[in-house]
Amino acid sequence: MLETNIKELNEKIQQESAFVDMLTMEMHRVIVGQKHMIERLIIGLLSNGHILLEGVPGLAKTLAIKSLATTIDLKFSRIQFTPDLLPADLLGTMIYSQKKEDFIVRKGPVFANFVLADEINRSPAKVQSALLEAMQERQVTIGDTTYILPEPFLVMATQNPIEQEGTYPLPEAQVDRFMLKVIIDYPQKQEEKLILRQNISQETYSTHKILKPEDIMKARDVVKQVYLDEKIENYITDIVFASRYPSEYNLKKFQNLIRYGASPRASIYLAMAAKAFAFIKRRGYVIPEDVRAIAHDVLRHRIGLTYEAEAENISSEDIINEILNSVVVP
Amino acid sequence: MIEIKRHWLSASKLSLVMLLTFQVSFHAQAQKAVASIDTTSIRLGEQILLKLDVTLPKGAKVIWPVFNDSTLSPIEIVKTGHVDTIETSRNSYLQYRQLLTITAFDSGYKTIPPITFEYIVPGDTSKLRAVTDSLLLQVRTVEVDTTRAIKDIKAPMSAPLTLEELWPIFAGVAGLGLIAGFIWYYLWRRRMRKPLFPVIRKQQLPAWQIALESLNDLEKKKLWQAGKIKEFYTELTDILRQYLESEFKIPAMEMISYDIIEAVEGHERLKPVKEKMLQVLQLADLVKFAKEIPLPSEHDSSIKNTRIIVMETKPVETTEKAEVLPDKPIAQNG
Repeated sequence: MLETNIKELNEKIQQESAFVDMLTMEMHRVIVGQKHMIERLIIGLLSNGHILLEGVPGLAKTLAIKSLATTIDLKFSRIQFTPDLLPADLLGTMIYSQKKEDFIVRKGPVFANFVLADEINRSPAKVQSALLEAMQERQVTIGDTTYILPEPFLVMATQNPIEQEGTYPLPEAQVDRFMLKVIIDYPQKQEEKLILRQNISQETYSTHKILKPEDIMKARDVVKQVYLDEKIENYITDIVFASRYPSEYNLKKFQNLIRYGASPRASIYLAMAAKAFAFIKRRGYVIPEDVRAIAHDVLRHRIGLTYEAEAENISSEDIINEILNSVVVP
Repeated sequence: MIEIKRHWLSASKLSLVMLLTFQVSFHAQAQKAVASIDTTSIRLGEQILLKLDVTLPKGAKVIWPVFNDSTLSPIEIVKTGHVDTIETSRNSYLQYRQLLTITAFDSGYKTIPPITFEYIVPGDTSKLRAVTDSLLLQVRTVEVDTTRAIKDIKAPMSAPLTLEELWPIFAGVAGLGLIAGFIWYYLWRRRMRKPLFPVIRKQQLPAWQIALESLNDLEKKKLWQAGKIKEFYTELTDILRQYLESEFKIPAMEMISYDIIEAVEGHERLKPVKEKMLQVLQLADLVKFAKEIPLPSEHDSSIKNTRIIVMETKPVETTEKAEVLPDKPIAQNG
């Protein structure tokens, strides 16, 4: 028999999380497969964290974000990052109105609930910084006035791991602001067949608005209430510390392979994402499985590798795997 | 009368002289100091032993002379040995002996002077003396053939290293090695988060026995009865996980419950107890992470199921195997 608050919370979650299935089904109307990506998009949405999607072209990254935005009755804007993009193109600027004979503010596309920053690494650092500052502060200053960005505010950026020529890779400090970095892989053979059929058929597939912003805000409140035991907190801190001080966790072999470990933001995001994952799984409490499930997406862009690691073909994924296999589960 | 008196006086003087003479001769016979040398003729710089023997009544306190380089000058003392005590054939006497290594660097006849030993016999306070005889030592020079050319001084000869000289080096190296080894071991144990000295008794026991003992200990602790339900399930799952790790090499301590159940599939012995394991792990997860408070009967069934898991999956005893297997291969005809 559960203590009242957890029992009540479980019941509440059963009711509140019903939309997750609806949302997933709706997205699967246009996207075949990519269950992992869709799940992570929902986690980001529920835990108020921005998402960076990485994958080769043609894996429905942009489509997924667009579809998610269209299933919720929210303002959505898409910004294609190019080398000649300027911060003002993103944030907005002050223009002179001849009618009013004064400068008026023209807000940029960042003033939306869902912002799709397509191919974020194609723009120079000043544009990336402008967006990332808005992501962090959730406000934009134009002229003398500071404007609060609407809630919910979620940035979903995409980047392409190939075609690196003429790109501006995101600096570590900026990439750290993304809660999750989701790697998208090719679809399965069966899924590929379905994609093929869908695209050559005459039928058109589109998503419908099934959620309101209030639903998301309400769900976020419930996610915050998900119980996170101290044992899980210890587990999270152990994982993060293992990435910083591997030799203390029987991982001396990584001592010279890790340039820098995960930041405290990683601990915060691990906890938040684990709560959202538990919510999706209709649970009012977090178990180690939840932490493990989201650990790769939270940590992969927060662990810096040395040249030795690159020379030995060791990726951050390998290091995270080893960390998860070495840290004692509560 | 006067004559008688003179006679008496001369008689008493005589008897006193006789008594003193007797006393002296008695001491001379009883206590003696003898100095002797190996040879009376040596070459320049040759070393010989000077043996000093002093025989005294038991209990006598002897004041042994202190020898330094110039005591026997011009004869040099190279090495002074310890004074040894030797039992004599006469039970009431002890012999004291000291060996001195001596040499001389001047040619000619050299005298080893008499050496005086002072002593006090028991029951007497006066100091008595025993003196050795002087000895004559001939020190020969080396004959130089002046017809031959003068040769250069020989280079110092390298003496072979003796074990006595080497052992401090060996001991030092071994000591440093031991210290370095200990530091390395200490750091390694610390890094591995293990105690400095492992508990050998536990390691020698089979995994199932350790698990059963730990389960008994857990029961004795009466944790859930004391309201420490979370601690009870933490320890219970740790015992189960450690058993799986030791017995089946499943890294269960670092695995989540779902992975453990999946790993069980790969072990034939564990398959029959999968359901019981699921019950224990799932209930433990609820207690540990979701504030679940199970019924008392559930605590009992959890510990009972863990015990069944261990008992039913423990390895078959080798003696049982031996009974099943034939000792020799069956001979085939033809």
